Amino acid sequence: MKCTYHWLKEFVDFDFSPEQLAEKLTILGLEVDGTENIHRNTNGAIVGEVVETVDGNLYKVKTGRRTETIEFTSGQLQKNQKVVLQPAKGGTRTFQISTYESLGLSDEKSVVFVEETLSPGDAINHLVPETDTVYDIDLTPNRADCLSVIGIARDISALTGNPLRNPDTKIAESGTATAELVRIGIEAPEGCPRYAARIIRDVKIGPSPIWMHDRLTKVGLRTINNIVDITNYVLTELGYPLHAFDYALLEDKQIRVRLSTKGEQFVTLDEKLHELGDDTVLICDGKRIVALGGIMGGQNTEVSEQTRDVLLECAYFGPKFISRSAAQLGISTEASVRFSRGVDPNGIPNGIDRAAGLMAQFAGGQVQKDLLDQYVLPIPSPLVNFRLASIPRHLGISLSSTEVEELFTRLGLGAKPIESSTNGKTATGYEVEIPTFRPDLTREIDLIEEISRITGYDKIPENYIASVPLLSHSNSKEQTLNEVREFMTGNGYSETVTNSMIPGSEIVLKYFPEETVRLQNPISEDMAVLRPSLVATLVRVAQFNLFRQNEDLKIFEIGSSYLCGDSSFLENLLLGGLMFGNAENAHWDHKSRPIDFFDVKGLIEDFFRRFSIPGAQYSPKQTWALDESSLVVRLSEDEVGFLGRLNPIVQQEYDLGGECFLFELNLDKIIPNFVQTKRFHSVPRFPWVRRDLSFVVDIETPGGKLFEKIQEWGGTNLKDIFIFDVYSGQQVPIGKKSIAFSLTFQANERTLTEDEVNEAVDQIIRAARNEFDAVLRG
Amino acid sequence: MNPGQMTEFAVDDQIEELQGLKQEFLEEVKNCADLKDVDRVRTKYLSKKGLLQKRFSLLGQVSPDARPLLGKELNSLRSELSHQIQAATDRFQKVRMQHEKIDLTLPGFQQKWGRKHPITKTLDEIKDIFSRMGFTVEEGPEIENDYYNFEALNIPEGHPAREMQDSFYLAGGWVLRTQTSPVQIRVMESQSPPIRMIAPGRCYRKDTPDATHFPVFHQVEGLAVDTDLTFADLKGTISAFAKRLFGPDMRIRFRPSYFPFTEPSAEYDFSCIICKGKGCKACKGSGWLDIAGAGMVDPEVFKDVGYDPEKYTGFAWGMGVERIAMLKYGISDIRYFYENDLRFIEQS
Ligand SMILES: [Zn+2]
Repeated sequence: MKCTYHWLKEFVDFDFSPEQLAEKLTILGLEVDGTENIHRNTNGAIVGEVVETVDGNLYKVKTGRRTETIEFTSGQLQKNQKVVLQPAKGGTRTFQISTYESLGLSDEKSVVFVEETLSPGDAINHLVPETDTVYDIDLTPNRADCLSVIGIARDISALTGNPLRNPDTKIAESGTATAELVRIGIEAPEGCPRYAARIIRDVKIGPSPIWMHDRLTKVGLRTINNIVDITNYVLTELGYPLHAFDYALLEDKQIRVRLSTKGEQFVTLDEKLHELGDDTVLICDGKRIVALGGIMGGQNTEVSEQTRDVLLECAYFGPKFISRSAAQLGISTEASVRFSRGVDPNGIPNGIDRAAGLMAQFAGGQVQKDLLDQYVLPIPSPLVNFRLASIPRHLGISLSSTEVEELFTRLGLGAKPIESSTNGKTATGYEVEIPTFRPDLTREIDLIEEISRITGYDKIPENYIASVPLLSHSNSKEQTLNEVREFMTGNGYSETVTNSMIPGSEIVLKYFPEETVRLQNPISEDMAVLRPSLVATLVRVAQFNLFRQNEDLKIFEIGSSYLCGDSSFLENLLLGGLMFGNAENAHWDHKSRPIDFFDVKGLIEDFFRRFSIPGAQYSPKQTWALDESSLVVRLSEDEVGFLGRLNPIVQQEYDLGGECFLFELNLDKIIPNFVQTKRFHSVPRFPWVRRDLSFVVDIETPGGKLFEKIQEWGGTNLKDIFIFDVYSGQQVPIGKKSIAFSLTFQANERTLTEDEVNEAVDQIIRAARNEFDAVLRG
Repeated sequence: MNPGQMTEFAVDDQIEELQGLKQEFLEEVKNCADLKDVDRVRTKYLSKKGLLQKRFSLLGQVSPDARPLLGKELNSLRSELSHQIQAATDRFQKVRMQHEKIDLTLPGFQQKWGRKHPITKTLDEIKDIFSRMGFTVEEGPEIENDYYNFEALNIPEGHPAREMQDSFYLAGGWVLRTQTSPVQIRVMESQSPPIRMIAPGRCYRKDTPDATHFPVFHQVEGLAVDTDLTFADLKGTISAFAKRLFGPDMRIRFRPSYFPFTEPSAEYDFSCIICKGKGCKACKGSGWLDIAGAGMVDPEVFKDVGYDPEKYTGFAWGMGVERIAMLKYGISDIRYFYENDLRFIEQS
């Protein structure tokens, strides 16, 4: 919604500067999104009248008491034609004849039209102010009443306490009664509860008065002719959408309001053909559709140069009908926006008379007798009970009854004091009559908002004392996720947060043909589906970073994957990681080492140890994201994740040269296994003994199995076991490998004897020989 | 020679010889090339079988009268020699240190240290502040049904507020949540007042990406419900948050606005952290930075979850995590968060 500083001043007095007014409007909840200062060259401009043409382009022009000879080259002027004169450029005391362009009104180079009522010598800067400010107000959808200059002025009046001046709507009627000139029949009262019409005869289609031209252009409306401009002007001024039909073109001098049936067609003013659906409110004459009610008029009855008589329509259309039809047709007009949000049904006579009066005054028309007004479904002003005590209850401030009554009056609300009683308690309050221009006010709480809005939110204190429940349930998942993040960052992984909407062409999607979640209305094909796995976004981050020449990557993300389940969508919380390049930072004193499989495996093993989750099983299995040498992780038979090297097909797709390792864990499955409170055990004080054993086994023997078994065989005194070498080559027979273990023995309560350790070691050697054919190496 | 016959003359000779020994010693020390040489000289003169020790063993053969004199001479010579050896040792050690010294100006080795994403870091700060104020942290799904994302928030079908938040739809009428308010509804449905909670999480709106918009973003929404909460408590909560996050000089401003699930509704602003409210480019000269929306919970919302609006009041507010992070860390473009350039994240 746009309005101007001087237009508002017409309806209410205020002392604010244009900048202050912007601030005040914002504080009222009418957020000023932008301001524009507009300059017109009207300082010193006056009305003149052409007395005679001297010669070609030279005219004798009356400038009040004097007459001057002035040249004008942008068109021919007539004798007795009134013009606007502005001081000539160059500071001489002479005048030039104004064009719209020279006054700064538009880029039209034609002579400015001057209305009849002005006389030579009249100054015009009170009609067209030299400077004005246009406010672009970002209205919230509830404030239908402020889709008009008067509505905004009403809020300023409420804020300042200065009275609101309504525009003059008195008109002089003449001629025939409207009812004899046209018949109105409303066949769809829900869609059109009220339809009012006036007929204005003998209008002279021409330019609009200069001040109207000025204001319409300021709020971004194009001027067309005086009749159309007046409907647009009243729309902006009072918020009533009006439509002017060429009366002569209305068949059977009849208006029917009905609902459309699917398949009907209509050409609107903008020359577009529309195929209608059901239930669009239609304005018809005796034979055909002449307008889409509340949305747009039609070409067939449009006001033109030839129009002499005008049928002026001002109606109230049901908001739901209009918003639905406008959306269906894909049309949004000044009218449809207002009707969708709610126009004041009871102010319609005001609106139509204001426009008819302007047409009489500025288009020379005669307003025919009596308003023809069909109000088939009257809409009453609702009554709302309001308790004084509700103000402190919601706002934390108290207002006196005098203050409250004053605020109601300023807002145009009628308030009658009453005692209401709820639950046996009587409360002092009011029965408040809500004018129909405020369809947003239906409840007590809405009135509390109005009171707080006009009083000012700044009058409400900031309370720093709170009463807090000492015992409330705590979110352990939140904390767990934080610990997971710390684990990952501590291991050198940086966190990423990615867009969960990915391109529909993403290669990973082919692994989820049935489960992919597609958006019905994506912004673009680039963000058309939800990721089925974190791998999808991690590889994209890797690609991006490689492109940006960040060649060593250790990244992770904690986030959801989205899949279509059997009956609903599945969101799984995942931890995913990707590593690429060197394992450690480069340094002149260290040799860098490329990341390998055991970096990712060690990380995951450590993850389960860090969070005290026993029983993680790793089994070789190729999953979609990875190549054949990869592992799946299971917790009691349930697959909870995978780790390994990226599938070469995906790797190639993303141009990730070199080896890329990644993992993904399903946190929703794993977190329930987290040990919430760890128990510590005491640390043994007795010395430990270390023994190294190197076994030669068949090259196919899984070393991890042997490792696990030795752990088992070593008994409780085997405190630590670690593989320090794995070798195959010349030192061992062909088809064999050697695995070297370092074993640490220690008892909790005493010093172990040499014999005890030897016995334990012997037992391990025997068992290894029996179960793995393992031979102790030299 | 009979030891008993040693004369005083002989003692003088002894002392003279000691002088000669000292001269030889000094000469040898002077010729030392390294610590090894010094050690060899030390062994030659000062070890148990060294030249000086031999003189001490001769002391018994000197007449008792002369003994103290010769003993004193020997002691003083030993201390002199020891001193010289120490000095030579020190000298060579210093040289060696100079030879072997490392270049301390070279950079040290740094372990790879991962960073949290700035969004997480900001979320942590926000959660921490509200946790201290007694708010619990709650969560909910990103894929919501129409009821929780709209209906329960007082936004029925056809309501103009649905246009305010252009949403992404999935098959079957499901929607990607446009705010985390659905979590508030779920919590109110399952718990009774008093409630103090925040709901952080990922949200979606159909915004074309630019410097300040991204179709995926993070929100923290808060809710408090009790028997006596007012707009003043809402203002106090937001103000306390602002002061904790940006410092004690922060001021807040509430402006009337409209949200279907709150009444009265407000937009709240923070005083500009860049110009301290004087007016600058960041705040478009106003001195204020708009943050997000807030308000008193609309009684209709209470009715829908089965709370008695005559008994309870409450307040709710939202905030965009990216917006807070951009202000706090001086990040100029929201898209940086979602690019995940490591050089960006590693500043976190
Ligand atoms: Zn600033």
